[in-house]
Amino acid sequence: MTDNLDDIIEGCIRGDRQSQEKLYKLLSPKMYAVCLQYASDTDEASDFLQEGFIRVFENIKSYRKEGSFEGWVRKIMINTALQFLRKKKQMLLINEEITEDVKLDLPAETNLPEQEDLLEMIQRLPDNQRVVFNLYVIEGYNHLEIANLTGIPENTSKSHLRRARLALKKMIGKHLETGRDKFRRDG
Amino acid sequence: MAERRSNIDELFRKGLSEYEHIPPPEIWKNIDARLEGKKKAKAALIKHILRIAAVILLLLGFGGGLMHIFRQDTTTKNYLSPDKMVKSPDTESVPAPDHPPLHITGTDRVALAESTEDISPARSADKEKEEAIPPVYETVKAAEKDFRLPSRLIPIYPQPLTVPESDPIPGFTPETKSPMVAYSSAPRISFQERGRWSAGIIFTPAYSFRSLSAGEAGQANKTHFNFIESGNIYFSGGFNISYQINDRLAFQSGLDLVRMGQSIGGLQIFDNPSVVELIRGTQTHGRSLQPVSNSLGTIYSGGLPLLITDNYDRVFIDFETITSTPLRIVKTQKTGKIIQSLYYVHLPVVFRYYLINNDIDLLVTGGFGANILAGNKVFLKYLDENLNIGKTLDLNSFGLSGTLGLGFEYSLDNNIVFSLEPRIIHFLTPVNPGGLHPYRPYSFSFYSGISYRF
Repeated sequence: MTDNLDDIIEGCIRGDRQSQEKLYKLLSPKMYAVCLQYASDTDEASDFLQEGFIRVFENIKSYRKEGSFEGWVRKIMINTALQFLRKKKQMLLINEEITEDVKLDLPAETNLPEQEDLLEMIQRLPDNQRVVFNLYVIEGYNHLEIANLTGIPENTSKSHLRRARLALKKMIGKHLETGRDKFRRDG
Repeated sequence: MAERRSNIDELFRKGLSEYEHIPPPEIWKNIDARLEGKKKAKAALIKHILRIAAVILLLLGFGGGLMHIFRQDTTTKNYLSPDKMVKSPDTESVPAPDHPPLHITGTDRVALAESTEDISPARSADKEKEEAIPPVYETVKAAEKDFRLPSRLIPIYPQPLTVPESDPIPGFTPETKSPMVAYSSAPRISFQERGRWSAGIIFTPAYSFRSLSAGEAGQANKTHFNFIESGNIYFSGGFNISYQINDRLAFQSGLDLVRMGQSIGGLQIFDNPSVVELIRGTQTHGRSLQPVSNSLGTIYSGGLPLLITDNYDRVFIDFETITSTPLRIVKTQKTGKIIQSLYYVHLPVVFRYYLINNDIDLLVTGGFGANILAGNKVFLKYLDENLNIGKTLDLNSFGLSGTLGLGFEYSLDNNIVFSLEPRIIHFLTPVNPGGLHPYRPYSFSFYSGISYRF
């Protein structure tokens, strides 16, 4: 018999270990993917996921069922990752004028990078750029919101985003030129 | 105007929006173990609180025992209970004459000296009374002088002249075994007379440090922090107000400004701007560097052009994390330390139990405190300078603490009291939420102050 999500949540609120395990099995693949986007490697992503789920279980009573539960868990994962990264190092503050957007012109018949390749490219970015890129592009935050989340000024957020796009463009170019295997091998 | 999204963004958004990845199986095992551990920790915390409560009860019980002994001692010395005392015109207390003076004859003295049994009050009462019983030492002297008693008989006189309760003298209810000190001291003024309330100011030199749990980062990290970090001496102050519930128990609250924190030693400071700029210029190469490590939290600075390194190649440079291997330019190097200071407004709720009520009171104190983070500063101390370089990030703005201590009070007069109270204040909740090492500051304080009773 399959439990529905509400039953699982109720079980987790009661502290039932089986419900907690069910919730973990249900959401961990998606959340691990989120963690991988914010981490520089799989070990770090595992730390984010582990700590994130502990926080989910500890704070599940405060979930008000007003929005998507998955969205609530996702926010906890991202906040956990940001907190870890803040402890790991301070956010780089830079201030430069953003004069142009970064454009990427892909040929129509291009063999686009696969998910794992995209993830690896993101992971190769410096922490600050990776965080801003993820928050802006994947999560849809604007720079003011990113500034509030990370404690860096808005302009710094813009600078990080631009640098991230430039770096990714370079990596995609290399990927297209050399092919996936060589891209991965060269690092 | 909304910023235009790049098509790179679209590539990654679409590519990763539905991405899923099965995590390694050991993650759930770790989570499961931690959830179990937290359950046990909760049970252990309850046990811990019960232990503390038991210790406080034991202390109170011990105090009560002392009080009981002391009361016996006090009644012996004071001879009469307060309701048997009357005030003479010059305010000195003297025993109320509620019974006729007891007299004893010289023959009785000899009989007493030779007797090996308790004095029989009936026998004494039946005798014709010739003189009131003087203090024992006078009796002994008189015996030696008047009757020349053999010295072997003298030792019984230092024993108090007792009257068994089973056979009391009518109209005479002695409450002491030693009339010798019947008039020796005035009784203590009760708390009702001197006022239940008191208000005062306090000044506190304190040694502050922290207790650190191994937490997720493990024992090795903790050992490292214990090696490089040390406590500080601070001064605090505030005011308090007390309410005396009864002769033994008082309740106290107030407001203190308490400083806590720690120092990080073994640092090298590079203050040459050209070195700093040189390192800034290399920021895009090499590996990332960590901020100067400490157990409290990340230090955030506002832009002071200094480069600080510790022995673990961690670098802290103004407001940036730089990506470069650390440079160690010996000619511009200075040694120094970082001081992380936390300022709390401390609202204590303390019970004070008086073990000894005398000219100098001895008491035990115990209670809890609410602590509101009022300030958070990081100083860099080098070259005899104390520079404010920023703050520690991600600290709780509120914490609970427990307090336990002793106290001595000396009444300068009926209203003004000087007090000295060594106290331990220990945070019960960590100040760094989600920190790798749960960090609980504590302080050994010497509360000294003056209060006014009203």
